Amino acid sequence: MRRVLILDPLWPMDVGMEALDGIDVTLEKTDRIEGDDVVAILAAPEQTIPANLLELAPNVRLVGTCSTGYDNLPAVELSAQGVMCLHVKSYCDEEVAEHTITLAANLLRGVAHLDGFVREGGWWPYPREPRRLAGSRLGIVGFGRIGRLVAIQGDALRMEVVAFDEFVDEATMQSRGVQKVDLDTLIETSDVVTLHAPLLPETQHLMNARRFAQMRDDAYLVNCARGPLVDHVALGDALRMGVIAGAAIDVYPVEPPPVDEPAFGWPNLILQPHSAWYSAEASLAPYRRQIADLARFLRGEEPEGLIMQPEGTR
Amino acid sequence: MRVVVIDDTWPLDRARAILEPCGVTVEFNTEIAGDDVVAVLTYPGGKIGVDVLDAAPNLKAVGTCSTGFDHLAVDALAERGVCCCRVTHFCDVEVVDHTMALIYAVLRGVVMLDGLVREGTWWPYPRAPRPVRGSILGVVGFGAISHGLVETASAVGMDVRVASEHATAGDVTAAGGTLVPLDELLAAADVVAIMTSLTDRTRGMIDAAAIAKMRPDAYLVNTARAAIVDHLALGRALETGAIAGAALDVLPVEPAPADEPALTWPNTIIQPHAAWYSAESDRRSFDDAAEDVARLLRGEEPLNGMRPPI
Repeated sequence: MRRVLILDPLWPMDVGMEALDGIDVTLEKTDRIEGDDVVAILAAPEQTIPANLLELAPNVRLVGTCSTGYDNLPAVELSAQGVMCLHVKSYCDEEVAEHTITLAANLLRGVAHLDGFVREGGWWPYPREPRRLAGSRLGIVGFGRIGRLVAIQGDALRMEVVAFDEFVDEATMQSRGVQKVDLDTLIETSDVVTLHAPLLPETQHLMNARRFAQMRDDAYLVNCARGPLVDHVALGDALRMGVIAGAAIDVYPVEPPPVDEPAFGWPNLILQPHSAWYSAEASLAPYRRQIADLARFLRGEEPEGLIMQPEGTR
Repeated sequence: MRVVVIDDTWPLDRARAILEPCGVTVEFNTEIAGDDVVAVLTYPGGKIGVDVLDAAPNLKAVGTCSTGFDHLAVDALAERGVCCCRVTHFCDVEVVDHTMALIYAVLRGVVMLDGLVREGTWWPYPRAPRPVRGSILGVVGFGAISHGLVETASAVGMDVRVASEHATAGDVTAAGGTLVPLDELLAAADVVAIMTSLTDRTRGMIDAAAIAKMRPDAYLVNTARAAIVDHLALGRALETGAIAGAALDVLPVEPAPADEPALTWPNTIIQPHAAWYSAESDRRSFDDAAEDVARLLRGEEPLNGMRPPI
């Protein structure tokens, strides 16, 4: 009997399973990777898959992460060893884009700050002056699927949308009403800088002390992408010293943040529990898609969520 | 000739730039007195009665940096030849922006989630974020600000319904919404936004019976006037979970007193009557009033002059 390991204690075992009807396989929740009979592994986004996977379970030919980001998978190494690596493409793009624009609008209008101010007995003058959304410059770093949806929402709010993405040409951006700028210009001129880049060695600490110093002192940062895109210590310094006006983060260097997470003490910061991806529909979609892709794999068909073609299958 | 400014927050340099070409001097003063005073610039806290003419008999104009004018004796002053000028539509963009920010905030749960993270909560979310696109926004009222809100909310992909006694179905459709009866709006909406002006007809319009028609997972957003909603009925609905939450920029008493009950209601965002604000609207509230007074002093018709009958 072929076995599939589910490395996710919260995986709902009643979602999408009809896709496996008639296929001879057993699914097993575990936190241990081992066994010659294991052919596939489906993992939670928090679950790191080791590069020596095939030493633990030599017959694994498919590894899937239940998320869009796949920094928990050594996809290049495993693909080179003939293992199919899967992620879930665009199951929550709309949610992330909406959460991002929610945070941008709430920073510019000062909503969370003013709510706290009223509860402390304040009224007027406002300690955080609301700013117009209309005409504010929204700078999108990374113009992929989510970045493009953020642009649509920003445009609907009559914001001036600019974007930086070295892999997207000017015409593609212009056709969406977005002005292509270089990263320096984006960071120096935007009212809100929002990150929508994947986490890669070259994007780690994309926002660092030098970048914060480049930002306007009345500008905001939104990060609904990945925690390590931002140098967390540098963000804390920038907030405490007023280098920037504020930030909203949905992602952290360590998730969940530990009780001594320093960000809890930083001013002008909105904190979210990695919730940008969420809607009731989006919360089940990745499980459905991974089980459907597992069924394709077990039937010998090509999964839809392949990160890259593995060696020996081209 | 002098223009007296009785609001100590009024930017005098800009009032001077606008008014001095009319051959007047502009000064801050708590007293309005003298034959040479031709105009007064005031604010909602600065009442101007007809008795002002006892000390300033040659007064011709009163400008206020507000839309509301219940602090001015408009009719009595007009009978004595004084025209009061208010400012209108100076913050339409801001109120639309702030209302949109609150609609996003309640649907995505961001203010609650911020508090929960700080208390150590992570997953599962006690307040589950919901999609914005496709959610139903019910807009009560269809004036200039409401029109802008309908356009913006439909542009971000919301399904917008409007209840109004004055609007035509064609006007609402052109803005991107659908005109429906109020009861239907209340029963359908994910978010109900109060956008009507306060009149005798709208006072208490959203009462306990109206709130009871709302969905248990619906939110109420009020950036208009507190008295349109039965405040205590809203509190009961929030405390019993009859609706999911509220965002209020307006309260029955402002500034909020320490015993304001809304401060203890669950799932409620409170704002310090801030929806109107931006640096631009703040500036316009002063400049538009000063410019209307300048029009009067030049012998032109003011844009927002109030003469009886009004």
